[in-house]
Amino acid sequence: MKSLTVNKPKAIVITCCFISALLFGSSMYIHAKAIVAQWLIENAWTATLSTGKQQPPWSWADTYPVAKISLKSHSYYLLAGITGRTLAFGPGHMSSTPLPGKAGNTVIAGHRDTHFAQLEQLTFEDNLTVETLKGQFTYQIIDISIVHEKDMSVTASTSNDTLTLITCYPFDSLSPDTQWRYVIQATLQKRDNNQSGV
Amino acid sequence: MNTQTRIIITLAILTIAISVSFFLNSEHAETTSQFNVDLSYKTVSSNKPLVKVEQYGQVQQGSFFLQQENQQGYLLSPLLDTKVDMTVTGLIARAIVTQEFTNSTTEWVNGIYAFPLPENAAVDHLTMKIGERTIVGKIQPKQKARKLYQQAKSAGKKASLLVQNRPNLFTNHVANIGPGETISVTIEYQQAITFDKNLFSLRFPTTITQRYLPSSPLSSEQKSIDENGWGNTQPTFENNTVDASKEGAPPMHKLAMNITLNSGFELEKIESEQHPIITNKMATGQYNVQLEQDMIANQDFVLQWQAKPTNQPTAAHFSQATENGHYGMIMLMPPQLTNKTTPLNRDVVFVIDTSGSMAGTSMKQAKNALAWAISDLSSTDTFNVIAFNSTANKVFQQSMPANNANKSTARKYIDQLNANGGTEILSALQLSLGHQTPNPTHIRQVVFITDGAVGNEAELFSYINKHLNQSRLFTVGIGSAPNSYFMTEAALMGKGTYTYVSSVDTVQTKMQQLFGKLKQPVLANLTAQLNQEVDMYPRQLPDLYQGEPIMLSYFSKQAPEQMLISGKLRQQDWQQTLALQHSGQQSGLSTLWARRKIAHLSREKYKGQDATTINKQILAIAMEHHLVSEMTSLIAVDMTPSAKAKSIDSAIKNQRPKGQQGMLPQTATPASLQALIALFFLILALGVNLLNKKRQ
Repeated sequence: MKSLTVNKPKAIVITCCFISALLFGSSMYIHAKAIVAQWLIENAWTATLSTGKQQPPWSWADTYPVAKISLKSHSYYLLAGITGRTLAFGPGHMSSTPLPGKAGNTVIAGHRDTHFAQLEQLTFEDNLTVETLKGQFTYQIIDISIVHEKDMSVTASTSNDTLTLITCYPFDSLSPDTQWRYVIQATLQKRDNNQSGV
Repeated sequence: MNTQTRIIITLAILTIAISVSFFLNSEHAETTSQFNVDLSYKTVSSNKPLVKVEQYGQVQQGSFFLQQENQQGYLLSPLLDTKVDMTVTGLIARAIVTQEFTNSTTEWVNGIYAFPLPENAAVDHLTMKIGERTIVGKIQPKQKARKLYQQAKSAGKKASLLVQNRPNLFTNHVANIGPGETISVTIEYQQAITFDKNLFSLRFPTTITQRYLPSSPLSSEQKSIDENGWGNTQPTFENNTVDASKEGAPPMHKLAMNITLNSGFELEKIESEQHPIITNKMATGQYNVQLEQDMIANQDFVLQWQAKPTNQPTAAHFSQATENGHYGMIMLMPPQLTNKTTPLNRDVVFVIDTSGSMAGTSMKQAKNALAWAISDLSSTDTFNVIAFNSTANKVFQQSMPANNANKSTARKYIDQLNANGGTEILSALQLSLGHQTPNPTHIRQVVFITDGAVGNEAELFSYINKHLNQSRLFTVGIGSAPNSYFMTEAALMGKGTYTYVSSVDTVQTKMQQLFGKLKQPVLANLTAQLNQEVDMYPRQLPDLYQGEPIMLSYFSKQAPEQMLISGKLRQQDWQQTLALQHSGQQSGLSTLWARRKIAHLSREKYKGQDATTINKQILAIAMEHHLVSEMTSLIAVDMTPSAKAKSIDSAIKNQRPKGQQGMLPQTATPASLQALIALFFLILALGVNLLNKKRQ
């Protein structure tokens, strides 16, 4: 009887520690994936820039880098597609929209907890730059809004060259399921064509 | 000790349950969003007593939802009210749409309301009414208007911005609506009346249909009507309708309508297809129409009227003299054929998509429809069948007479078709349009049946443009999501029509309608000449089918006196002159003309013309005629700042028919949540450990 009362709390402590470690691990894994993947993607992007060919960042990847986006101090490599798996590694480019350099509305989505956490700090004064195979594109922010997840109008094609960044909102929320999206729209200011002719 | 342990165990189990539910939740994020909304809402904002979460999923049925200050919850508030006043004069309707935005919350909010307008609507006025003050909107280049709106919004000023998202979809942004305040925004537009088979009709759309999915680059079927104004099959509205009772939608978005109809002649009947109306005769040729009761805005309102058989209109001319010149609108009814006249000889090329995506019922229905169409050919017709997937094949080396032997050969060929392989539309176009041998006695019609998803649209358009010659291209879209942008534009470039078959059950009826029409082409190769130099739209007159009139808008420095229309009426040269000395004076024709010119210009852009030059032209015309367009927006800003607090964004969703499911990507991870739960367990472990030590 006595041994039982002693063991029970111990078991609880061990279980709790175990669950805690598991969850911490899982949480860290999400961040680690987001950071490490960007290193690997950097190599793939360098290869893409020099060869002009699509280069998956690792052999079994079902995506490839399409551009590099700079937000204030940080820059990230954009991957093709916006599936959950892709977004875990980097911000994704919605494939149904054009890439910068082609007329229309370029839509990019990223996780609010990792790569696109910085969107919150962006203001109308900030410029965004996107580098693609075609060259470097500088955008000026013209609209910041919070929309519902079903409001697809932000992805609609535009007559002016537009860049649309999407991430989940609110930024500091714990829940991974929010129906709100933080949307930044920017319009093309400057275009530097790639001189290397790739 | 025992009770304590139990409590801790219960707590631990609870926490595990919550975390598990979150994991499950995030995995199903894309498929069961409605469920997620509820769950996350309850979990996150339990401190906020918000209303009726279960209604949230009905956002598609129209609701004005506002965000709370802490941005973590939302309130549903009664939606805006819409009032429509319309005046129809001759062939033009002028509509005044008043929307009242009411903020039922205690916060300052910004609202967004997306709403449809007729695809040929020329929007030229915006007024914003706050209490007693009225602010009139100005037309501005789109970017500039947006900037002005943003500035007003952040300065706490009331502002309204009207933007055209696509030819038939507009959004109205309203900034800084105070708690309990109502802002009334009035939009005015002009539209041409449709006239077909002696029936005038006017449509007021209330839902954004599936075919105007915001994610598609261009709107679809009805866009062809926009350019032709009238020439083609009436767009089918069956998809526009939503049975509110079925979806259990609360009747929130109400619409009142008042129409003054100055037809100018005695009417046989005035009717509305879907909504009960009350009609009053005011004077000869003047009527007033009202809805019996306010309608729920989930079904398009269609009003139709018809002249007395004794005075059916056969031609019309309306004009407007301005400082710059003369604007006008002409309607001319070509001679009608009696049923006894033998149908035209046709050379019909059927092209059927047999790619893998057509597998199953689509293929079966397409085959049935094709078999039916072939059996319906008359013996004087010639025909051929092309089947394509990754490659294209024809049944006959060249078009064959539609005799029994050939028909049976074709049927056998169709029977053995199987759906697999890719969708190489270009190869099929090359087979059907390339190397045409001119046949003066037959009209060449290409009927293209596909569900095709294509990426090389520009290439295909330019091929059609170059190789159409005397052929007419009719596209038929089958399946749940055909590329309607491609199909519409291809049909337009092919001087034909686009038929969209929404469900496989309706393939047969739709095809019968199409083929019934194709049998009776009335006028082809139409050209219109006026005795003055005119800028006329549509630039290229489409072929006419039974019951369709010629309708065009023109601008001319000098008033034109007569028009010569010539074309081919059943292989015979046909021409008719219309004296234009007399006309009904009417305002607003310049607006309609400008709207058509803009539609023409944007089409040129997709044909590969230089976009920058065309955008400049569109901008100039839209600015001159005070029109909302793809390059311009209307903006009204109240100069007095009113918002005391920072306003938050909200959106008013339009009622959308079911099936329009679009979702922005899921962009949050459970990382922080997991870390937090992990921390909780760690503290729990520590606590239990401490407690245990103390006890020992």
